[in-house]
Amino acid sequence: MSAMLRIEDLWKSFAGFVATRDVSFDLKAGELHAIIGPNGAGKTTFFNLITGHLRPDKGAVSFEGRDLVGLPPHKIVRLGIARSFQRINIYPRLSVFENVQVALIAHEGQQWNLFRPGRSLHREGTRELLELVGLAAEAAETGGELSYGKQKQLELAIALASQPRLLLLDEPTAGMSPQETGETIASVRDIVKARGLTLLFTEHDMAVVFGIAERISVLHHGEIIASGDPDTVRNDAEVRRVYLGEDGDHG
Amino acid sequence: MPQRRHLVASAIVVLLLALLPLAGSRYAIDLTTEVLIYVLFALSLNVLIGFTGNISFGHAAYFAIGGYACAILLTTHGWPLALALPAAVVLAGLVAAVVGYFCVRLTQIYFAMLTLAFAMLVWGVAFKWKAVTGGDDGFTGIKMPEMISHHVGYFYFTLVMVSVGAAALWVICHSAFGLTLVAIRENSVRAGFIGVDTKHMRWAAFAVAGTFGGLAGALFGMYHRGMYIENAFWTESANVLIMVLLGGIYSFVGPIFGAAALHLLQTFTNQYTPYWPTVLGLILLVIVLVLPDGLIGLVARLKGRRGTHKGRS
Repeated sequence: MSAMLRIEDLWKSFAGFVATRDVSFDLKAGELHAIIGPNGAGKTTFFNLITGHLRPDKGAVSFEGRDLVGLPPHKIVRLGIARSFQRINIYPRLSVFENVQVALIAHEGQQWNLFRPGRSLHREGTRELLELVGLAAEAAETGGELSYGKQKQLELAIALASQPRLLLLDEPTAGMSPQETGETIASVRDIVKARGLTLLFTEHDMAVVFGIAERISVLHHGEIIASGDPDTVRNDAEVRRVYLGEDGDHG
Repeated sequence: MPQRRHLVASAIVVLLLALLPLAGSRYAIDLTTEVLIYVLFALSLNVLIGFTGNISFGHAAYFAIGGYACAILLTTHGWPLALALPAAVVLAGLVAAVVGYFCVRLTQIYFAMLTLAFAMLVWGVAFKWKAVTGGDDGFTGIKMPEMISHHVGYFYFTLVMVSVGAAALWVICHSAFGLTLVAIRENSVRAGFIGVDTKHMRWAAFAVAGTFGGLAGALFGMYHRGMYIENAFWTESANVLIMVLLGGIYSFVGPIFGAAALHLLQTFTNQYTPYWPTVLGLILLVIVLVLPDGLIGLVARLKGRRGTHKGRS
């Protein structure tokens, strides 16, 4: 089977600092794939290059055979790629409900409807998504006033509202309590399996990585130094040296 | 549905206003007419500021275009009101669409400066195109249709136009479109990542704001029987901006109170002292220091309610 997401010879640098160095990468449909690497390894940049937030200096990104380079984020979302962000990226003054509702409105292309009341649309769909991520009780609260962990869950609900086939999660459990982390891993795994999604995620917490990922790629100084199933990566000498060795107690 | 409560409240307000000519003096009727026009002007600007999060320093341009176009079509070309008014409104909207096309490429202060630059260009046209606009003498002696030439008739005409305009803006601001604009205001990057073309949406908001600003301007010109280049000047843009801020940008109704409060305050202050700009400065200080959410925010705080500082009233 050919790759769902194919990345070839991708380069990106910022004022001389190379953040992505000759990255080639294939992601098959249905795969649960983790990108790991120390802080500053270029994980977020890698996501930004895929989703159109940044334009690569060189290289190709294609999704289901379509070239993504040069497309703005809003067009890439429409092709079926949604993402969450490492740093909270919600609508702080909208209610939790509206945060998700507006994503459903956009998914259905109703943002150009000047007449139908926005609040009356997709109430059922919004409720379902909030239940799915465990935020049903907080629907009426203001997004920006939720706890950090819950804002992360809201991020996930917003991303799912775009009905993606490929879901990109940038450190979905960063800043969460151990209990929230456990719940989030379980719910992400369930959702991805139930909806038949392909998952690409970055993560710091090794327990999370080995709890979800079927395949792992290790990013170091902008380069992929190893890629494979969890056992292969865990036992890779290079990986142990640059990364796992540093905080091996997590692994 | 909260809509029902709003509808009843608005109907009562409009009805009470309609009774004004029975009791009010000519002075009260004229003053209320002016306030109504500024209410529509402020509401139109808040589509951009409060709902989309784009601060325009040049909204007077569309007010002036609506005003001059309606005046010129009625007077110079002898068009009937039923044609001249819609044509003026459409023209204001079209110019806003052209200007907006360039402005939405920028954000924040650069966006604001570009709106100001275009507004000064409009002012320059009004100033220099003497044969058509009357230049710095202004365009005076607007030919008014018989029906609305009396001040009571004009008051009712304005009341109907402003009510319809405000209702239309209410529907737009609370539509799927309006909710998406609020999402753009709150986090335009995120809005892009749910599939919203934020540039196009901001462009549409700009055109909507200009269209209704044009309607306010047309009403203003006919009320004064003339348009003057001051109406296109940046101070007029600043004035309506202060109205919006004073009322509160995060609520649909805020600018209504801001426009009424500021215009009445200005009128009364001018009766006692020539120092209106000083008073205006003090008002601005108060807004910035203690009323960041405007009068509406103050009311909400006094009531001890939470959550009213959102994108809706």
